Amino acid sequence: MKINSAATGDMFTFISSQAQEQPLASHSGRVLCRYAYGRAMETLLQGENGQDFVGVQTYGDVCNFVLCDGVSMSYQGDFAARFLGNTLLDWLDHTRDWSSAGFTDFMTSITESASAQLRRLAPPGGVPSLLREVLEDKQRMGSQSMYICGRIELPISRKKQGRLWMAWQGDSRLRFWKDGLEVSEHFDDTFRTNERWSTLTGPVGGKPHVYQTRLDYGMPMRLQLYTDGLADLDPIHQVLPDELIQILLDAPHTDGLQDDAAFLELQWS
Amino acid sequence: MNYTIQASQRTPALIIYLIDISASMNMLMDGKRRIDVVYEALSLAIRQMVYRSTKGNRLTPRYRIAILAYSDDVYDLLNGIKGIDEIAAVGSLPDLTPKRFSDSAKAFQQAEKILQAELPRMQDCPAPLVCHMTDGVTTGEDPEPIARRIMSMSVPDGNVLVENIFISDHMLDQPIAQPRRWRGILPDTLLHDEHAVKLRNMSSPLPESYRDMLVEADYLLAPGALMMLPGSCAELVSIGFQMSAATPVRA
Repeated sequence: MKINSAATGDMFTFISSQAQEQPLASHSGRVLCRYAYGRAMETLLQGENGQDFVGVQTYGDVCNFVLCDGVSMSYQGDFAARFLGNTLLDWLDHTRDWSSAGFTDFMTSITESASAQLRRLAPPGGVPSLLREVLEDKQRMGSQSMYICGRIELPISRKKQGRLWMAWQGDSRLRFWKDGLEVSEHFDDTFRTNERWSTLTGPVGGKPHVYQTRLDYGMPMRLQLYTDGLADLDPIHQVLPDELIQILLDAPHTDGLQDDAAFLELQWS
Repeated sequence: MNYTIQASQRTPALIIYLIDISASMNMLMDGKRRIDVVYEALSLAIRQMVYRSTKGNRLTPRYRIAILAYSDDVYDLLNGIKGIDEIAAVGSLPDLTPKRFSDSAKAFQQAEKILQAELPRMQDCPAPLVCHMTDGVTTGEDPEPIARRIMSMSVPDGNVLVENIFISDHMLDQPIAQPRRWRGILPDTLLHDEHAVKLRNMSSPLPESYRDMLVEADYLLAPGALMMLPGSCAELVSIGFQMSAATPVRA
């Protein structure tokens, strides 16, 4: 899948590049998207890939989205985030089976292809032997990423009920407002740091959490997804203007982000 | 004051090892010299730090380390504090060669000096840790007052932590049959050794964030356990050194 943003007619796509920042930007369609991507300062200074991923595609009354947070303790967490992000965006666009069991099976079925690609990402030559041994150990244990993905099928005049489907594992933030009221408590206790997806085994720490709800015509709703690099957003419940979100991404109070950050906000009614 | 600041390139953790290299470290444990068991455990801890400091293919210097071996004198094995990246570049630790006596007070004094110099620059960093490994009674001054002073030093993340690994077969009622199921030494655990009691007085409570890391590694230390390990077998010595490297880092 290409890494870029594009808007054509009623279609819009944004896929983050892990090698560059995306200042907060927005796209207005039936779904209002705001999105951003930033690397941790130490990653940026080294010119390395960020380990987060965010992607969104809208066309007509449908919006597919993915946010991933690669596990830096695993081997090349940026790979798992990128592979999983692109794979899930494709799956969201094509699947007809929205059951929890079907999704879990899919997350297991993609490990073979992921592992084959990971095997080709050998540790670089010329690194100290101790580091090389550790990297080889990590490669054997696979690459891991936390994720949130979902699909919005908006209600339309001839079909008054739409649908929101989402799945996740890990501790990235997923917040949900209905008619201005935050109802994120639906998801309490399901954001667990020890849960993630692995190229080696698929879901780790338990089965994916799957949530599905009906969308009613005319009901204003807002979804906010972000990785823990933007944890400063946690106590904020109101809609923040773009410039304030950008300040959080620039993180001047800590001389830059301390962790990679991906942000996606979707609003519709 | 809750030991939650993560070790990072910009806020690295500082760990000072104090290693007893008195003559008794030549005695055997699990078929190896005690000093060799300690060397292997320390090397494993360094490897663990490398593991926890790797992002992508790069080793980020999330840990800074000093190793002071002591006998009747103190030997600074790394010639100052070195980043984990510098240690990994060398590839192996300097040899530990047993000598004669065991003057731990001198080693704690040198650790105190290092901390006095470093703490002003570490206000945003995880609380430093001093990991002391010994197998016997000190032959110099009483180290406890110095250890107490060190434990009262602090950064916003918490007071400086002091951990003790005591290589001894006689300090507990019963041998620890299953180190992974062991609950740890608590403030009221009966200890059959005067020196063990002194070391317990010089040991910090195990912070919850460290305990979480150890639980993740399948060790069941209880809430309230102290940072003190009876090094009665190689695995317990290894747990002790792993504990020293359990500073929170970004997963």
